[in-house]
Amino acid sequence: MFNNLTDEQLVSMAISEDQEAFGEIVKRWDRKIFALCFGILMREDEARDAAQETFVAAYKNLAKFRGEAKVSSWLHRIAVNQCLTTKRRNKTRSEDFLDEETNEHDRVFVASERHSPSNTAEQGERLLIVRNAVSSLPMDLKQVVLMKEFEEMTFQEIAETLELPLSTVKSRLYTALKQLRAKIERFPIEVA
Amino acid sequence: MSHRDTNKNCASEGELIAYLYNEMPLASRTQFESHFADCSLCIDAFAEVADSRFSVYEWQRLEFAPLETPVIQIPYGSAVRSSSWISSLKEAFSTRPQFAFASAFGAVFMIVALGYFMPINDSPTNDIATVPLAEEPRSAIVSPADINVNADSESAKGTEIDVDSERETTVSLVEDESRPQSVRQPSSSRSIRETRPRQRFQPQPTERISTVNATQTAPRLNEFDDVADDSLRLADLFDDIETSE
Repeated sequence: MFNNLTDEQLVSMAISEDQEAFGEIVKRWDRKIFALCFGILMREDEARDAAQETFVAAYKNLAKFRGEAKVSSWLHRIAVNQCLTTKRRNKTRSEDFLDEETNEHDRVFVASERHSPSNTAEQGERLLIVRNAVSSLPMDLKQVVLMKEFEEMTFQEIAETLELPLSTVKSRLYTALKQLRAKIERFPIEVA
Repeated sequence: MSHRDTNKNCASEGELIAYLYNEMPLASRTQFESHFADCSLCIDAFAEVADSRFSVYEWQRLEFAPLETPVIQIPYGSAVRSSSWISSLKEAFSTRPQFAFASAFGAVFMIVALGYFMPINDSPTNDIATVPLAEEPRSAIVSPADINVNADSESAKGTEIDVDSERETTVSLVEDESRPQSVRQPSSSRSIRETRPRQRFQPQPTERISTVNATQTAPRLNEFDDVADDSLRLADLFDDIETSE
C-alpha cells in the first residue's frame, strides 16, 4: 500500500493523523535506528529502549518536521540525542551508585523479543546477505572487519598486527562498513 | 565524496569509527558529542557505518558465536619432516646411531676382507722390479767397458741386471696397460728391474756414473760372451775322460 511512497510523503500523511503511514515509517527505519543506538550505547537493551523512545519522540514532534532535511536525518538526530541522554543518565547513575562494573555481561544481548517465524526467516535471509557482502569485500578491508568484530581486537592491536598506521586501520574499517552498507542495501530483505 | 570532505568542521572518519567502537579518549569523546548532537552530516555518516556494523555484529552473534570452539589437538610427538632428500639422509643418520655404527663396522670389515683375500701376484713370470728406485737408482746403467765379466760372484750377488732395451719396452708396455704400479716381492734372488724412466726420479747420467763403483754394477745378460765362458761343461768332462784313457 505504502511501498511507492517516499518517507516525506508518509510523514505528510502521518501529520494528517494517518497512523498507518507512521507505522510504515517505523517499519522502514526501526532496524537502522536500532543499529544507530546500538552503535552509541553498545547495549542491546538500552538500544531497544532508545529506539523506542526515538520513534515516540518523532511521532510527538511530527508537526515540527518542516521538510528541510530528509526524514532519515531527522530520525537519526532524534536517536542520537536520545542515546546521548541515555549515556548521560547512565553516567550519573553509575557515579551515584559507584557502579563502575561494566563487565562483559553488560554487553551481552538479551533475548530478542521478535522471535516469530517470519522474523526468523527474515533474520536468516539477512544473515545470508551480510555473509555474502562481507565475503565480497576486498581482502584488506575484510580482514580489518573480521579482526574487529570476530576477534574483538582494538584498533591499536590491529595496527600492530598488520603493521599499519592507526589512521589507516580506522579508514579501512570506515570504508569497509560503507561498502557493506551499499552491498546490503542492494539486496532488500523481503519480509513475509 | 567523504564525510570529511563535505565539512571541514565535522568529525573525521577515524573519529567516527573510534566513537562507534568506543575507543575514543574521554576528552575527545566529550568534544565529539558536543558537535555530534548538532551536526546532521556527522549523524548521517555515523548512522551509515553503525548500521553496517550492527549487521556484521548480528551475523557474528547469531552464526559465529554459538559455534563451539574446536578442540585443537597438536601431535607434538611427530616432528615436521622436510622434503629434501639430503635432510632426510642427514636425519636418518643423526637419529639412528646404531645404523652409523653398523655402517662403520661394515666398512672396516670390508677393508680387512679385501686386504686378506686380495691375490698377490708373485708368479715367476712377474719380472717387475721391486726394489725402490731410491735405493737402486737408474745409475745401474753402465757402459759395457766397465763391466767385469769375471768379477767376483759375491759382488755380482744381489745386484740387479737390467734387461735389454727390447725387453724393457715390452715390460713397460705390459705394465702400463694391465697392471697397477705396485711394488711386488721378487720371485727369486735375481730380480729384473724395470728400466723405464720415471718422472719422479731422473738423475743425471754423468753424476751417477761418477758415483757408482764398478764393483757395484751388474753385468747385462747380453753382454756375456759365450766365447769367454770357460765354465765346466759336460762335453769337456767326457773329453777329459777319453783323453785320460
